[in-house]
Amino acid sequence: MKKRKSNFRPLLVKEIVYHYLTSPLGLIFACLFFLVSTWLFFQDFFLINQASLKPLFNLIPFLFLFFLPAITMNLFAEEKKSGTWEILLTLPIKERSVVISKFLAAFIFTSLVIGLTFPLVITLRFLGHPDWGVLLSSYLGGLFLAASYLALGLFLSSLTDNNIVAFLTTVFFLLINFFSGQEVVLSRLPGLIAQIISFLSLTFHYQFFTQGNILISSLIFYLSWIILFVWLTIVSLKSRDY
Amino acid sequence: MNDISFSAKTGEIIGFLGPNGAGKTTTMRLITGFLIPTKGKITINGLPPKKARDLIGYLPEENPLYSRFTALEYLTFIAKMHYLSGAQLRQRLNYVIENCGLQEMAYQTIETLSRGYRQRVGLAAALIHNPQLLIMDEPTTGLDPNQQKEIRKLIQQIAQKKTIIFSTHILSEAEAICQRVIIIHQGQLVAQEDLAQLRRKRVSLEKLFSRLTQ
Repeated sequence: MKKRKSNFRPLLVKEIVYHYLTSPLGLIFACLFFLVSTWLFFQDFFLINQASLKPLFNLIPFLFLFFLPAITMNLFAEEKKSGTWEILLTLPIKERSVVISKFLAAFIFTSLVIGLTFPLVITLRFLGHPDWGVLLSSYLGGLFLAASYLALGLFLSSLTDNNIVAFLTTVFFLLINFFSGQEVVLSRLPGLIAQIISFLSLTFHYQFFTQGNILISSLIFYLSWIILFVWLTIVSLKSRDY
Repeated sequence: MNDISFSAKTGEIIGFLGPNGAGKTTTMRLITGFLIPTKGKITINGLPPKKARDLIGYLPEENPLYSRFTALEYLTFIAKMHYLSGAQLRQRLNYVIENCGLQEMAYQTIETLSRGYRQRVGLAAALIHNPQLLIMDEPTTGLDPNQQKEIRKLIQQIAQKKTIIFSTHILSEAEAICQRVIIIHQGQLVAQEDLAQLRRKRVSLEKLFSRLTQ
């Protein structure tokens, strides 16, 4: 018999990405994101008169806040409700591998959707001289931010069998996290606490990327966040028997 | 679940009986490795369920399916997840589609299939990797009498080289196709009877069932 490692199954990732790309939800999502981001970009592009995507990237944490939970909400909640997780988890595949595959699929789809902003980059290229370094680090920051949002959404989806509950709890926690990175909140807190809270905010780290700074501490923070929630999802899935 | 112990041989069809909430589904989930027992041991050909997934085919209660797929896509997906490929994949696909009577429905989306056909798709998926042990949780519930008959016929057809464990509410069904029945009540095994012996002793399954579970 062939030796197999049931750790990672590209087949599962492929199926889920394909599902995103062919399901109404996925397509509506992509179109909406494209429309909203293009509109946000052009709304004051000619007023500001700068070859930069900064206005758009500044709004991305807020956009993602409502868009990405819609991508993750059904990853596990739906399977629990319909009972298909019983099929999936009795196939020769490990929980770990199921979770990582689902996370990757959601991330790949999100990356493709973010890629829809590429025409804007080309527009910038024709109309002016964008700062490529800043653009690149902004995109990188956007991807890390998205991955972190998705990891949290994935985890919360594994805790319920209700899509809407998964969606709303994810939005709720992301909103709290979002506001804890805002000046409005931070300026009212004592120095040290404000520092700690801001460090735990995903959007706080994201700002550096949009300014063209890639900080090691931010990268480590994002990666730890992603690993933590992917791991928690695995734990949550494994503890189904209790 | 408490204190349940039994074994099954190749070629045997075992019926799992018990009132609702007796623990039939939990027992089956334990055998398939979906749940892990807190105490005790389950082995399939000497392997724990998690390592024996290729040996087990499972049709869960309510027959959950990824209904966005067509029947053929779904079966192919499950087969590939079982590491089937190439000629072997095609051969198994043909086999289950033919034996479960899905020829005409292969290209239909599962969503649009009738309950009886959905059940066949579920059964075909459970059989696709040619498992030695087939576990079915109430495979005939919700089907009309004709569909029930067909599923029963199917079960008997595939039984020769496999071990089959299935749960049911219908006592006559168990009597018709099982060699042995296991009765579970309140999480305990209350009876394990050979049906041929039961018949020889002229004890009716129905009386035995109601005596033990009331």
